[in-house]
Amino acid sequence: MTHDAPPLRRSLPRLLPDRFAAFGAVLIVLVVLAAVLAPWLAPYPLDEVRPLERLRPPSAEHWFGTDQVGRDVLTRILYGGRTSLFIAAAVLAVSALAGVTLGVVAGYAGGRLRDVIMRVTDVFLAFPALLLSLALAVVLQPGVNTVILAIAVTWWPWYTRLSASVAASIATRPYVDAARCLGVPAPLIILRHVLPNSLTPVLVQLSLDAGGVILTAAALSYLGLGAQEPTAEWGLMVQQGQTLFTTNWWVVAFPGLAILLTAFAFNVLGEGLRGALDPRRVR
Amino acid sequence: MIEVRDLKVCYAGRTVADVPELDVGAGECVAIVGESGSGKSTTLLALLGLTDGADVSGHIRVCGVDVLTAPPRELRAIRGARAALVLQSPQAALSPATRLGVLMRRALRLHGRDDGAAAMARAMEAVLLDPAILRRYPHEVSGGQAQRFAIALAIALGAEVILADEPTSALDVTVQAEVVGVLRRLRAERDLALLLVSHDLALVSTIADRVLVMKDGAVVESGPAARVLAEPAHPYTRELLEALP
Amino acid sequence: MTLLRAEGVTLGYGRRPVVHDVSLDITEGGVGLIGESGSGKTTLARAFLGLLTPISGNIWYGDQTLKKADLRAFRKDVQPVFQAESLDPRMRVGRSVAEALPRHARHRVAELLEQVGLDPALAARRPHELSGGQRQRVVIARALAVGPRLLILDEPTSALDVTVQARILDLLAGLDTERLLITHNLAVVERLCRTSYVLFAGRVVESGPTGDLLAKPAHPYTRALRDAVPKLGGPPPEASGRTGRTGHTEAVPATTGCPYRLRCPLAAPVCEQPPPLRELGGRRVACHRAEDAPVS
Repeated sequence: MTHDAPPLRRSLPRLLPDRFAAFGAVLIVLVVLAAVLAPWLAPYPLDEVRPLERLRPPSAEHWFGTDQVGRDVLTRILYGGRTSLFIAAAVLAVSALAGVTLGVVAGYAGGRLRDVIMRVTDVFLAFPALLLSLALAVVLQPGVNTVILAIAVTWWPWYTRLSASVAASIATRPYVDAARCLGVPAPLIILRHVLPNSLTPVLVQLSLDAGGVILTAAALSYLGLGAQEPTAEWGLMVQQGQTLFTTNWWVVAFPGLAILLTAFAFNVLGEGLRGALDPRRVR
Repeated sequence: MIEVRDLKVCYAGRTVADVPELDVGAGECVAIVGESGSGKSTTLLALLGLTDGADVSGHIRVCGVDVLTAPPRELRAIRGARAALVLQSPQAALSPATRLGVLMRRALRLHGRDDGAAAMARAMEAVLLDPAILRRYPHEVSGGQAQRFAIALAIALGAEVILADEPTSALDVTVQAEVVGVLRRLRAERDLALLLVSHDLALVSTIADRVLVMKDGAVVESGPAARVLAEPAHPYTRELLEALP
Repeated sequence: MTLLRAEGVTLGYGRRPVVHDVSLDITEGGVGLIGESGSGKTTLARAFLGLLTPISGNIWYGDQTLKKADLRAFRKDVQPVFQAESLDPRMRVGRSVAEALPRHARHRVAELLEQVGLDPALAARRPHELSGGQRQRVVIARALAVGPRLLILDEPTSALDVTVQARILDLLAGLDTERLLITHNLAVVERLCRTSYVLFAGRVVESGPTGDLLAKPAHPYTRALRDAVPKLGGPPPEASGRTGRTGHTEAVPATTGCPYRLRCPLAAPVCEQPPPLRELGGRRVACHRAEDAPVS
């Protein structure tokens, strides 16, 4: 590839005509807002248990109904979004930080250092992701922090892979050679030239992955290895309500829908970003 | 073969090419010369109706077809068959996982031409390529070979007009000399009309009958190549000539 | 003594050498290195810049090999000028130039931009907001920032429009640094270099004073190169060499004997032996049959 991907700023206007991506972006903004503003938006206090109002179907008082102990499902979904989004953000931040740092160094340095970093990465990639997360979650105390750690451990190697290959190609650009000829030390070259020019595909990947992390976190919770009662978390809500699906569908359906919609929105945005940042679309 | 009157190509209200008159007859070679942003490539693309998103007005006839009003089906029959486009880097336009021979056969079938091995070999030999090259993949041939393959394809498809956009500027000079040699010979032997877009005045001066000099979208000078180069009337043409080493 | 010279340098990536046993002195008055794509000229440039370590042979910087030399001093003395696309696309061009300067000398950016004929206000722009010629000037300003004695110019004008090219050449000709100019463009060499080397398939096939070399090429390849350059109003460029079914210039360099023999119109059985680089009438040429060449 001879073209540089255009900087994000110049790509945004081109993203807008892409209705799908715009739809995804709007959806994400709404989900994030709902999660952030949960204490104000939620119609009931988070942990208010009303045993007498168990398993009420959706109604004017409880739009999404109530669960098996009489908690308002909408309230739990709003608060649950905080947990799920926090997990996604934390996992991606940790993965990207560790992964991109190692990847960029490996890609720029090449040679033996690259081999060492990439082999370590391969070891982590060799484990089935969900299985490794499961094992970790079993060994450690179940909880939100464990989920984050468990998923991040299996997630960062992808970022190393991605950024190493991008950085290796950036490292051959003439501007990197020019900087080397000026005697700029390697860490500065990586920081000033290689890293900023390698970030575009990472951003796309982050957006595409956010949905995946939310799904994985939900899966871990569903298996009882993630967030624990009384924390509100979408995957946990689905798990707890699963036996009720045929009789009291709303307990499961609404949190499930929240997971689906959010994951979908991130994916659509990611695909849109990928398209907008694709140098082949530059005229 | 090519007849253009009052061609204007506008993008978003800005005129990027304004060509009052351009004619290329059979066996003739006309060159459009200019620097980047002069509108020379846009003009070439407009002749085949390939300027997506642009407002094109005026009158364009290529191989007897009115490009601006012809139905898409008729236009497709012209493009690539009777009027062939040759680009700067043909390798980028060749599908990397397909052997050249397969590419050529598909193109010939698409246009209902003779796709026998003998016809393909004849086209290859017309551009001084070993027909054995048809068994190779695009990355296995050099830039000069790929460019000559693009010309061979045009020949096999029965092109009467070749529109070439900087066909040799990505090539080494010795290879350029060959590609130019092939184009000259085809023009003489097959009465091919040749419209050449180039930034290289010296190269153009050796093969073109007539020259159009373009700058910032406008034709600043045109006429017989020998006259334009010997007695340039426009200051920009003079500047171009003086810039030559 | 010359600032930089190559002595029997063989270069390559991985195991396969692409430059074979090249010796080249960067003497005063400019040295041209002429070659087509795949000739190894850019690889040689990278070796001269210390970006690539020779497989064998040495790059001498003064009286020391580059391996042992003081790299800080070397980086101050020798700077590259690559094509205009050698600017970081995300960096304001002023910062690109400033990168070469020590912290206390950042104010010199404006001065350097003026020196290469640019408005200092352009420092705040990014590369894509400049024209090709302006970008090339920025690249030159960056190289000049450290006050080099030698510039290694790798195709400094070949991506530019001709009128812009001429002005960049004027600028380069006016600089009081020594230079090694790497190009496929004979006219550029004629203008900027007193001495020239012609590279074919990673080997020097001819070297000598540029004027002589182009007026009376001794090597058939030098002649082919010269004759292939179109001249204004001249005859169509000659594709000199042997014609064959596959078309002559496509013949790959021979791996034994003279690398040019598969394309050479003068090829003879003797050419299956590798030709030594020998003195001939004030220049050096690697051709068994140089004396048999038609005079032109």
